[in-house]
Amino acid sequence: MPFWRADNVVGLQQSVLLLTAAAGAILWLWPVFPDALAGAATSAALILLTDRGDKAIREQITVLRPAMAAWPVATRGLEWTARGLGLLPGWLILVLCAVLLAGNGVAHSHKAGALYLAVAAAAQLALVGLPDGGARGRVGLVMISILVLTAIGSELWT
Amino acid sequence: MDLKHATPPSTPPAHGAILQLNGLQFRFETRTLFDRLTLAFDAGITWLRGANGAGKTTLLKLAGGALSPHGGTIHIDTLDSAGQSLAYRLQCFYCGGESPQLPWLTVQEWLDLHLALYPATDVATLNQHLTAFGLLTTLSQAITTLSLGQHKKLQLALALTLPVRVLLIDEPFNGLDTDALAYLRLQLAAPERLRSQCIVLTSHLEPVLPLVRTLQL
Repeated sequence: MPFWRADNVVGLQQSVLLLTAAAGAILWLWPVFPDALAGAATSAALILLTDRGDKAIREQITVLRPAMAAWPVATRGLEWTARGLGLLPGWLILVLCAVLLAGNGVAHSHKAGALYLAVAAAAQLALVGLPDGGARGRVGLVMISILVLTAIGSELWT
Repeated sequence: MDLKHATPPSTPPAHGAILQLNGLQFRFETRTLFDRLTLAFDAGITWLRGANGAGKTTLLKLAGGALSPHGGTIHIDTLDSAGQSLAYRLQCFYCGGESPQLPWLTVQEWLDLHLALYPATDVATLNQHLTAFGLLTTLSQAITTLSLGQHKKLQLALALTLPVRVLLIDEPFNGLDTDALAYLRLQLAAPERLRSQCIVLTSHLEPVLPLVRTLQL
């Protein structure tokens, strides 16, 4: 709710990123555009989806922390649950990727496909689970994740 | 009496007191606010007085569990604020004067959230207070659309309803109209409430309430 109300654009931004990642995955893995550029676009949308979502959740937690401090609830568990739920959109895309790859069973490298899914899941876990290492660390993690995924994705149809 | 350096930390809490602060220490980066402060609050209304910046709001937030002390202990009856924090917080409510938190919620959602946090709350009593404060028509509004006075009334309606042992109210009379002031005073002075609940309020105005104690910070 906080991401959809009170002039907050995070909900809209996440929806656009989710649709972009889903559309990219369908075009790349169906495959309509089985090239490295489509893979790079899909990988970027996938990582940015989790990165932007996690950033918004962390900011929201920071805003809420003073109020939550007085609530009779275990706030640490609540915070980790919220951050964990931030993984769902990205993992939804990974499920879509797995389904699309399974539908093209003989046309791609199974090893590269499995590696792509595993690394993408790990990268998203790292984005959500690692402590805040500052803006530079975050940008570095996002860029490296996108580059590694793009590199693995380029091997998918070879 | 200088309450900021009141009594040594070894002083045992007063028997029969509901809220007990023992050897409380709290400091900001630039200054120490409380150094080994020991206080006990009985049932009834305590008026906490002091100049701006004296630490009234901080003391209420410490007692409400919203801030953690750097030393000492805080108890409600036998509940320790650090060791039994969830049970402790269930027995107290800090009614502050801050601008609306959770700005994306409607008034009804904000109330529902707090009803979920304090499940023993009587909804009929809450509706009675909301009616008296003239807030029933605002339930579907975004909480950010309430005026300062309406927001104060909303917080007070909830505070008056929650089944807590300790009620901490920061400047309860600010922004209230005459009718709301009269209703609030009537509710706070209800004999049953005075017998069972420890109420600590800050106010720069004379509360015009039956006080058990006045503390100057």
